[in-house]
Amino acid sequence: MSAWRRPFTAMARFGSEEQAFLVFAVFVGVFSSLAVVCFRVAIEWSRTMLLGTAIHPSPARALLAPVLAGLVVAVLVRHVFPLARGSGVNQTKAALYVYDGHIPLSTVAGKFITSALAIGGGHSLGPEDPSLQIGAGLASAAGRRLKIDRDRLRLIPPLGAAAGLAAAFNSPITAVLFVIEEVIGRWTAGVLGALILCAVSGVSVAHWFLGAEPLFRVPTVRAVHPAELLAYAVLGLVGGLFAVAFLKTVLYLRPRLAALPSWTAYLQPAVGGLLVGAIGVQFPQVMGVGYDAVDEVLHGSHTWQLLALLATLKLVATACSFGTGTPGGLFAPTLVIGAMLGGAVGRLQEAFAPQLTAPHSVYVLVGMGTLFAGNLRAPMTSVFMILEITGNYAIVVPVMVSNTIAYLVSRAFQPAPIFDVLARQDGIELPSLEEQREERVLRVEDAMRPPLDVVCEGGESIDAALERLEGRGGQFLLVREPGGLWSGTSLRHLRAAAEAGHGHDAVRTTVEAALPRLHPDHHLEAALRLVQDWWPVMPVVHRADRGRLVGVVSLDDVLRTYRLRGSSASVASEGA
Amino acid sequence: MTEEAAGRGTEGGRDHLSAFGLVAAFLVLLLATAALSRWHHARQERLAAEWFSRGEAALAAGNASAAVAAFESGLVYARGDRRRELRLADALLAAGRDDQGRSHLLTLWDRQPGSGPINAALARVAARAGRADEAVRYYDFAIHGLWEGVEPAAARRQLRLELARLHLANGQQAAAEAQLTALRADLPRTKDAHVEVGRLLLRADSPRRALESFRTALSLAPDDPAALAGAGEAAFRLGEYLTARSNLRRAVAAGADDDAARLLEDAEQIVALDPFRPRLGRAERARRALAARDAALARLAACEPGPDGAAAIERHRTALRLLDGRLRAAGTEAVEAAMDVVFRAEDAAERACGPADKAADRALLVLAQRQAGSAS
Repeated sequence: MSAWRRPFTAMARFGSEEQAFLVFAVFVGVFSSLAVVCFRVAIEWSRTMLLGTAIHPSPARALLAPVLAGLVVAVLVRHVFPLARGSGVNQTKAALYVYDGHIPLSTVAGKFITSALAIGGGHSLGPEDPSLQIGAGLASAAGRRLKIDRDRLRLIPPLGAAAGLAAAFNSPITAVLFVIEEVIGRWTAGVLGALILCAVSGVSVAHWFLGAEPLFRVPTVRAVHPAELLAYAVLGLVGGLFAVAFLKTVLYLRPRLAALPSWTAYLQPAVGGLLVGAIGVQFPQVMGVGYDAVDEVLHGSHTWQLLALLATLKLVATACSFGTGTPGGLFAPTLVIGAMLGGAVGRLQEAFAPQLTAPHSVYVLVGMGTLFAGNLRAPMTSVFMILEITGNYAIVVPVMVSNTIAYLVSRAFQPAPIFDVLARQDGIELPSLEEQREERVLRVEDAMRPPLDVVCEGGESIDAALERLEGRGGQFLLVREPGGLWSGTSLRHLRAAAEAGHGHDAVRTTVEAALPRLHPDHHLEAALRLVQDWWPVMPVVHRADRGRLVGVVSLDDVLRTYRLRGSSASVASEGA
Repeated sequence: MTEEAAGRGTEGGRDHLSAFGLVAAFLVLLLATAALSRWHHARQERLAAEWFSRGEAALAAGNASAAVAAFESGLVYARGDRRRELRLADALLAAGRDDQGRSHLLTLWDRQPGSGPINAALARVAARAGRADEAVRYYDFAIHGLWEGVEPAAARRQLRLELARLHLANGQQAAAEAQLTALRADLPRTKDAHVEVGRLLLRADSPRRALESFRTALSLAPDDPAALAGAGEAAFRLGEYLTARSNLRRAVAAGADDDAARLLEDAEQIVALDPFRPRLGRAERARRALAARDAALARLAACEPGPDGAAAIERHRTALRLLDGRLRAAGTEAVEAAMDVVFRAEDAAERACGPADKAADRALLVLAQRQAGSAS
C-alpha cells in the first residue's frame, strides 16, 4: 500500500513513525478534549435546566429532576445507546484488550448525552469516567480513519482517555497516571510520551475554553506534628473500610438489579434517582458531581457527625445511581465521599488533640486521596492527584500513609478491583492490572541449582574433563575462560576429540558454543529462551564477578519451577 | 489501467477523503466548541451577576444568611472571581460565620497575599476573635497592600484608625500613638476626622498631639462642641487649666455633653483653688489654701468610713483644723505644707469613702497629682 493511501504513513514521511505518532497524539488530545469541553458545558446546562441555578435545588426539583432524568436515560440506554451504561473505564479497557482499540462513535454520543442528563439531573455520578470514554472513543475513531496499524490502534483509545480525563479533571499528571495504572497497566517510553502530550493538550484546551480555575478552592495546607500521622492512619483505616462498604454495595446491587425482569430496566434509574432526590431534599450536597460540596467542606464548619452522615449518604446515593446502571462515573463521588470522611476524622481529631491538629481542610484533601486509593485502587494516582490538586508538598506524607492503609484494607476485604469485577459482571474477562502488578515474577534464582561437577577451566585437558563428565554421568560441560567468558561442550565432542588422539589438548578446543550469561535476578522467561536456543545447561553468574558461578539452570529446572508455580496458583485460586 | 490498479486508486481516494473528513470534523468541532464556550461564558456571567445582585440586596437589607446563599450560588458561575469570593467572605462574616469566612479569606490570601481588602478582612476577623498579634500583622499587610477599585488613601486611613483602636484596647498606647501620628499627616481636612483622631490621641495619652488635632478641627468648625470639649480636655490634661476652662465653657455653651460640663466644673475649681499658680500674692495664696482646707474638711465631714478608717479620718480632720488664719502671714513654704495636709486628707477620704462628688474635691486631687508629679 502506498504511503499516500495510508494517511498515517503519509504523515510519517516527514519524520519517523514515532514522531508522526506523537504529532497524532497531540491531534488526538485536542480533538478529544474539545468534545469533553462540550460535555462539561452540556452537564452544566442540563444541571441549571433540571435542578435550577441555585447552588442547592428546591425540594421539588431535587425530587423530580433525578427521576425524570432517570426515565429518559433508561429509554435511551435501552433503545438507542445500549453500550453507554456504566462508568466508561472498563469499557475503555475492553476496547483496548478485546476489540482492538475499537469504540463505536454511537457509544461516544450515547455516553455524552446520557451522562450529561444523568449528572445534570442530580444523580450522584461524576463526569470524569465518561470523559475518559468519550476521549477514548473519539481517538479510536480518528485512528481508524487514519488507517493506523492494529498495534498502534490499540494504544489510541488510552491516549484519548488521558486527554479526556485531563480535560475533565484539569489535572494532567493524574490523567496520565490513572490511564497507566488503570487502563494500560504498564510503562513504556513511547506510550508515556504520547500520553503526556495528550494530557497536556487536553488540559490546555480545557483551560482555553473553560478557564484555568482549579476544581476546588484549596486553602493553605500544612502538616502540624508527626504524631498527627496516627490520625491519618486512622483515616486510612476508616477510608479503607468505607471503600469496601461502597464496593460491596455496588457489586452486590448491580447484578441483582440486572437480573430483575427486563421491563424494570426502564424504571431502575428513575427509582435510583428518586432515592437520591429523597436524600437530596434534606442534604443537597449528595446530588450531582458534588465538587461544590467539597468546596463547602473545605471552607465550612460542619461538625464531624454531619460530615460522617454526608459521607454515608453520598455513598448510598452513588450506589443507587451507579447500581441502577445510570451512565456516569465513580471518580467524582469517590472524591466527595472521601472529602466528607476526611473532614469528619479531622473534626474528631480537632476535638481530641487540637494542639496536634492541622486545619481540617488537610484531612478533607487527604480523605479524597484515601477513598480514591481504596475504591479505584490506583495508589500512585491517588497520591499524585492530591499533590496536583493542592500544589503543596507538605501534604505528601499524610497522603501516603493514609492511602496505603486504605489500599491495603480494601485489598484485604475485596481482592478484585471494582472495574475488573464490573467487567466480569458484564461478561468480559479483562486482565486485572492490579493482579498483574502484584503477581510474583519468577526469576532464575527460583529455578537454578548448585553447579556441582558441570564446570571445568578452559585450559584443563580433554581427558580429565571427559573422565569427570563420565564419572558423573552427565552430557554437557560448562567451560570457564579467564575474564568471565563461558562456553559449553558436550560428552559427544569430548569423546570424539579423545578418540582422535587429542586427549591432552585443552578443553577449549572442543567448545561448541560461547554462552551468554544469566544472573540470579533475571526473569525465568530469559532462562527459558536461552536453554532452548543456546545450550541445555546455562551458567548463572554473579553480577560483580562474572567468573563466579552461583548456579546452573537447565530446561528441566525451568519447567519444574513453572509447574510448581502453576500448582500453587491453582491451589490458591481454588481456595479463593 | 488494470482492474487491480483501479481498485487501489479507488481505495486510495477513499482513504484520502476519510483523512480530509477527519480534519473537517475536527474543524467543525473546534468551531462548535468555540461558539458553545462563548455562549456558556456569557450565560455563566449573567447567572453570576443575577445571584450577586440578589446577594447584595440581601446584605443591604441586613439579611446576611440570604446573602451568603445567593453569593454561594453566584460563585458556582464565577469560579475564581476573587472580588466576588471576597464578597462571599464578607457576607459570611456579617452572618457571624467567622470560621468559614476566615477559611475563604485564607484561600484568597494564598493567591493574593498583597491584597489590601483581603488582609483587611482577615485583620478584622482576627481582631474580633481576640487574636491581637495576628490582627496587627494583617492590618500592617493591609495598610501597605494593594487596593484596587477603591480609594486607597481612605481605606488606609480607616485601617490605621482600626489598628490604633486595637492597640488601645490592648493597652499599647505607644503603638497606637504611632499609628495616629502617621494618620494625622494624611487626614482629609474634615472636622470629624480630626476630632476622632484627637479623641484617640487622648486615649493614647498624647494630649499635646490631641490638642493639635482639636485645634485643626476648630479651625474648620470653630463652634463645634465635640472639638471644643476635646480641646478643653486635652488642655486640662496638659495642665493648661485656663485654656481648658475657656474651651470647655464654649463647649458647654454650644451643647457639649455632661462629661464636658463636669470637666468644666473641675477646671473652674482648679483655677479657683490652686495656690501654686504664678503671679499670686501671699494673701491670695493663703486664702486659696484656707478655701482648700474648708473643702477638705467638708469632704471629711461627709465621709462615713467603716470602723477601720474612722481613726485615720479623725487624724486628718485634726490636722486640718490646725491650719488657721496664721497662714495669711506665713510664707510659700507654709502654704505648701498646708496644701500637703489638704491633699493627704482628700486622698484618705477618697480611699475611705470612694470617688468625690464635688468638683472642689476632684480639683484638689488633680492638684495633688500634679504636685506629686512636679516634686518627683
